[in-house]
Amino acid sequence: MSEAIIDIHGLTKIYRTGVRRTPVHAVKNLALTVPRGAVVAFVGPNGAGKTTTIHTILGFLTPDAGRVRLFGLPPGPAALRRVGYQPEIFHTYPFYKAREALRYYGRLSGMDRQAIDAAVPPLLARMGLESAANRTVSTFSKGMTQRLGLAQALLHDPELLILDEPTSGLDPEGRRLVLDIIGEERARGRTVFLSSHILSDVERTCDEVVMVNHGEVAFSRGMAAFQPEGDDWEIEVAGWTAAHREMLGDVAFTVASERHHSALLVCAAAQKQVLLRRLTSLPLDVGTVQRRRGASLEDLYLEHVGKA
Amino acid sequence: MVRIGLVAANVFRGILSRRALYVWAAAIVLMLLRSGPAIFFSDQNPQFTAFIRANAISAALDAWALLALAAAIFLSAASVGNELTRKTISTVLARPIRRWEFMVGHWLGVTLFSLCSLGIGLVLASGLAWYLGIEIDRGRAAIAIAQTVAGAMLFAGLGVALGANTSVAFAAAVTVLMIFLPPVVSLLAKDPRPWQHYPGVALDYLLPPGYSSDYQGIAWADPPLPANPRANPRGRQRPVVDYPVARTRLYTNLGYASVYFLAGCLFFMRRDLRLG
Repeated sequence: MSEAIIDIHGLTKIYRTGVRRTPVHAVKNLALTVPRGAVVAFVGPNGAGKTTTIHTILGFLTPDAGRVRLFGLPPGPAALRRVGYQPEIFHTYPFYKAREALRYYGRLSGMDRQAIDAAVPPLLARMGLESAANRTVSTFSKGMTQRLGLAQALLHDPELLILDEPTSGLDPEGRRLVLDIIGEERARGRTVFLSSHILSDVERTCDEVVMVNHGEVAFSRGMAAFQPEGDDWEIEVAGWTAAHREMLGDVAFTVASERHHSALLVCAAAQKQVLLRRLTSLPLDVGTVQRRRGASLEDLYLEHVGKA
Repeated sequence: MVRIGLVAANVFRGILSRRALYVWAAAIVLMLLRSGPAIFFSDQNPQFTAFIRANAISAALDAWALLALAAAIFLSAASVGNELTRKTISTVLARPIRRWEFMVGHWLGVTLFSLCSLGIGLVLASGLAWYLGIEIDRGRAAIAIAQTVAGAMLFAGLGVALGANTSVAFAAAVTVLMIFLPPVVSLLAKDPRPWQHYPGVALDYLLPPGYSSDYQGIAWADPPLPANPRANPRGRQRPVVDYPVARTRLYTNLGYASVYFLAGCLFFMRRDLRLG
């Protein structure tokens, strides 16, 4: 089993709000493991506890219960040396030029001047910011600032990248750049823990997805679970009753869902033609016929969030 | 140490980029208001002219010291607080830097700016003294500057400590109170009535002796004799500096600054940083 880079057990974080200090569970008994070399997505609706979890991993917040380990260590300088973090909205000092800002962050990360001078130009070029290297950050657009935020996270070549909504505020080109970089980091064996709302990005880049809702893990599974399932077909029919099932008793099929005299029938490819012939011979309205998909991440997400 | 220096330099640069010109412009205006007339003043009586000019030098230095302290108070109160509200702290503390290092960096950065302001004032006042032919008492100047440095460290330490753990407005308000409370506390402690005396004694332990300006008399020329020699005799005598008392006050202020700052660091290291 590969080493756990992030290991969280029973994490609970309670915020106390208002004059009466009413407790609000931001995270409840959350358990999570991110193995080395994996790209793990952390998805969930607003207020689900994603940022609270990330801030606890980084040591900004102290857990009320549970345990957080980064590289087997409690959050602290020894572990953070190996972490690159991009916040949801990157805020930096407006008086710095891009190159100076990276120099500051690089020095704080323990890099020496030579290493920074060698790393900054290619990194800025990779982010498409080489022409803005000597521009003051306060003149940057939102997208440029976000790309600078990703640059500062990558600068010291961390083993673990924690990205909180990295594509937020980016145009399609910037979004593609971020996804490409995540792919490159994965290819280099780096571990990426990514919080995102954009499920298509998650499907494209991640190995595993962990969904949180109301501070708890709703589901956690590998992306392989979202691949198309086998060779089955789906047939929609209207006017369906229980009697029809008996009339079709000699054909192999299952009823995937049934509602308001409509049904979704599923059969193997070999049975499709037979079933269709029999259906059209009955007083039924046959609708869409399509290859059966596995539940998409979006389906699962909406099912757990309860907005389907 | 490197990270403390980096944070301090960053804080110093941040202040320079936005607020320094305002602080320094205000100090120059205040200095001119207090000493400007003396620069252009000339009288038939050279003793009177020298007296006016010497007073102007002392007043100018006093004004710069006050501005340096005001800068220490308000910039320190906003220093860490602004990092929290603007969320610039998140990408700094996500790096291998301890929270106390971050706070010490802020303390040093603000204090450095405050002392730079004082330094500019000293250079300007020394130039003015040289131009006007007024001699500065170096011994008095040393203790007065040391008092200002200790005051700046005290107010910056308290401001950073409070600003990191409370709101910027609260931190600034309490730090400003530290200027006005110590004299009141001394009076309370000396009061024999128990309702005044005991709170005064308690507060005397909690509060530092506070800042005391020793700039008056730093440059001196005897005033011309008034028509009535018995009138206001103290005004014609150079203020006496009690050096041992001044040194004790200085060290005590530094001690309180350290204790306040340490307490602020301990709270800041344990508190949750809710950055939204």
